[in-house]
Amino acid sequence: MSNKKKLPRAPHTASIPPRGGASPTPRGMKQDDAFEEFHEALKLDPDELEHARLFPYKVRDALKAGGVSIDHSFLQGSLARGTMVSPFKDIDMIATLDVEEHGDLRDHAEGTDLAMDLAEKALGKHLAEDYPELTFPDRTRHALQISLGENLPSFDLVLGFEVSDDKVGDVEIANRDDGTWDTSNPRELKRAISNRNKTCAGKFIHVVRMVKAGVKTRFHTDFPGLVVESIAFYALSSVEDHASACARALEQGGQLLGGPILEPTGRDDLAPRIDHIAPNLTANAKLWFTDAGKKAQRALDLAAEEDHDAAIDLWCGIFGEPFPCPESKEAVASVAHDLSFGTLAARPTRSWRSH
Amino acid sequence: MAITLADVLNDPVQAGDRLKSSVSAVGSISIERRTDTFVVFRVTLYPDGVLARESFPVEEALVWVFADGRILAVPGSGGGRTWRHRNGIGGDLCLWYADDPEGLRWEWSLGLEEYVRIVHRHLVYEEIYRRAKAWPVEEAPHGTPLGRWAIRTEEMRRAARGRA
Repeated sequence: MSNKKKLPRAPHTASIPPRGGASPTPRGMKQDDAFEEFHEALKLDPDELEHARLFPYKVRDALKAGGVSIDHSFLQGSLARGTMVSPFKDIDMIATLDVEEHGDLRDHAEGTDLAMDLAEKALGKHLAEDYPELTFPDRTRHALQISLGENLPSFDLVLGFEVSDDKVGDVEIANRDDGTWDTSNPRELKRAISNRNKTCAGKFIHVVRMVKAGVKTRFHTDFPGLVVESIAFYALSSVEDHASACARALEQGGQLLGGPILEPTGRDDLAPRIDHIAPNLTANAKLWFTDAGKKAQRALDLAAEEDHDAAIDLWCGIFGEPFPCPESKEAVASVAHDLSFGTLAARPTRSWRSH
Repeated sequence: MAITLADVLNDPVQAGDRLKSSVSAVGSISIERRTDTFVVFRVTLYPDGVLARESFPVEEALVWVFADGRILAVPGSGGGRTWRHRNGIGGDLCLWYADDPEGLRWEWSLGLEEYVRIVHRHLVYEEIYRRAKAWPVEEAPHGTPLGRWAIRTEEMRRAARGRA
C-alpha cells in the first residue's frame, strides 16, 4: 500500500447517501471557473479604490493648508500592496513631516501626540468641506484614525519622518505608547510583494486575497492579514493556477504557524503579535490551516479526477462566500440522519460510554 | 466481499488498499504499527457534500485490529476537542452499546469497511454535537444499568429487528 498508488475511488454515495439513492446531477462548474468567479468577486469597488488612491493627496493638501508641512504622503498596508480584501476600512497611509519645520517633534517627550494634534486640527478644518461627517474616532499606537462618514472608507494616518532624502527607504513613524519614532519599512515591503507578484505573472496578490478572505470568513475576522501575506510569500515563488497556489499557501500556513513568521522583507517576526489578538490564536490557526491544507489538496485531486462538484464543496468549506458555493438543498441534520438510516447507511448503532 | 480479520492480519497492505477503494470518505490510509498480535491503520477521512461546505474537519482515526478479533478506533487528529462518546480521556470511540441487539452492533461478518463507515459517521456526529449540542440519532444513556438500556425510537427498533 502506498498513498501514491492511484486507486479507483468509491462513489460519493457510499458515505453520504442522497435521499432516494439517486446520484446527484453534476452542477456543471469546473474548479478553475469557480476560482475565476471568486477572484472577480474579491475585486474592490473601482470607485472606492480610486477614492482611496487619491486620498493621500487630499490629506497632504489639507495638512499644508493647516500649516503642517509635509514631505511626502502615500498609501501603505494591504491596499498599497494590492492584497486588501473588503470591507474598505482602516486604509493605511503615511504622511512624512518636513524635518526642517517639524523636526523638533522628534526630540519632544510628547512629540508623537503633538504631531497628531497638529494633523487633527489641520484636517478637521480643511477636509470638513469635502467630508461633512469627518471625525477622528481614536488614536492607536501608530495612527490617527480618520472616519469620513457612512459609506466612505476610513483611514489610519501614520505620521513620520523620512530616514533619507531619496523617499524610497525607511521612515520613522510615531509610536504613542513609547513616545518614540520607530523605523518602519513600508516601501521595502511593498516592493517585495510587487516583485513577487511580477514573478508570479500578477497572480500572487490574487491568491493572497483569496486566502485572506477565507481566513477572515472561516477562521477569525481579526487574524493579521500580513501574516497571511507572509505565509503566501514563503509558499509561492510561482503561481500556475489559483487553486493549486491556494493549496500550497494553506499547507505552508499549517507548517509555519507555531514558529517564527518573518514578513517578506525578513526584518520582523510577526508571530508574537498573533496571540495578542486572542488567546491560543496561533495554535488554533495552525489547526485551521492544517485542516484547510488537507482539504485543498484533496480538492485538487478530486478536480483532477473530474469530480469538480466535490472539489468545489471542499473549497466552499475552506473559503465560504464569495467563493461560488452551491445552494444547500440538504441540511446537515438530514445528512446526519441518512448516515444512520439512509439507503446506503452503515449499520445504525447507539453510541454509549460506560461513565 | 467484505474485508475480514484474516485479510487484515495476513495482508494489511492489501486490506488497506481495499478499504480506500470501498469507502469514499477515506482519502488516505497507512499502517501506523504492525506486530504479530495487532495492526494499526491511520485512516484519513474527508467530509463531502454539505458537510464539506459546512467546513466539517478532516478526521484521522487510528484503527487498532487485534489478532483475537478485538477492534477499536481512537481519534488521531484535532487534539483538544471535547468528545461525547469516548471511553475515558484519550480512549477509544464508543461506537455502539455493547448490550444492544445484533442489529445495532458491528461484527466482523460485516467487514472492516463497514466498521470504518461507522467510525466516520461517529466522528461526524461528534462534530455535530460540538456545534449543535445534540446527538443526531438516539444514543444509549451513559453508564451501566441493571439489564439493557431500552431502545426508545422506532427507527432504532426497526434497525435492531433488521429493518432500518
